[in-house]
Amino acid sequence: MRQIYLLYSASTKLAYSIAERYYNGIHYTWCATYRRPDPHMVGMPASSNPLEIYWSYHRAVKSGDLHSSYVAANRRGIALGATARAKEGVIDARTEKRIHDIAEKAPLTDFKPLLFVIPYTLVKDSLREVDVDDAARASSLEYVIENLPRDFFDVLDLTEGNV
Amino acid sequence: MNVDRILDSQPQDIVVETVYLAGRLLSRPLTWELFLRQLQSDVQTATRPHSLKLVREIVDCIEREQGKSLSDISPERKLEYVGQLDAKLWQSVGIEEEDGIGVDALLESLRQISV
Repeated sequence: MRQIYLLYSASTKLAYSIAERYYNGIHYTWCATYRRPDPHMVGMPASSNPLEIYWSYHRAVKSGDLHSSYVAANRRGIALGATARAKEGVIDARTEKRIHDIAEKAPLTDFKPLLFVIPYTLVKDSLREVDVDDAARASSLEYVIENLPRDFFDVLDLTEGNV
Repeated sequence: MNVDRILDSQPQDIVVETVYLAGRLLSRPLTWELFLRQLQSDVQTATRPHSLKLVREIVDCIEREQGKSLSDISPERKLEYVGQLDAKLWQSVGIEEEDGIGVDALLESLRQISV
């Protein structure tokens, strides 16, 4: 297997800020390796590719797409995250409710995308591999990191020339 | 029958989890089996078995209504069901401003957090 150095995860400014403010800078993260698309092999499915997800958020925000399935999924993920953190005792019930309200009411512009870049060596013991279908397995590795501290990753905003 | 009726009288945490899971299944070209395998990597909550049972009921309901299996239903149609479920989700979580802090102020405060 090819050596992994970096993992990438697409998030939104709103999800990031909620984790920073309410979860003590601990982020729940779906991440994946990045492989440059190879025309000769089956690529990572678009919906799993962090960069594709990143640009899908970007297009949704830029075009004002109020029906974006990516943004809707992020709202649901933020809501579930609040419920999960409340069950863990990280936040209280009132804060959970506030975050639910934020997830529902936040305007599209709060879903500006961010790309997390995560050094593999820092998180290799925290990774849970996600099963993908046979077609995707050839080219992609997906993981969940349940508790990713802010110090363990860099954040890129590709739309503002920060890279 | 609307799929969201399956969530009637369910507690809020179950609604949140079920709609999240159903959205994940219906928004991607996943089979039920692969979906279950993917969930093994997820956080295991005490409510997961019940939420998963409700997701299965939702899928069964959609397949009955459409007269075909999930994999044969168009992505657009599946997203319409997700929309119904989203409406139910946000209806169940509601607004609370008893301490006077509104969502707009919270959002403005979150926007000040730098990356």
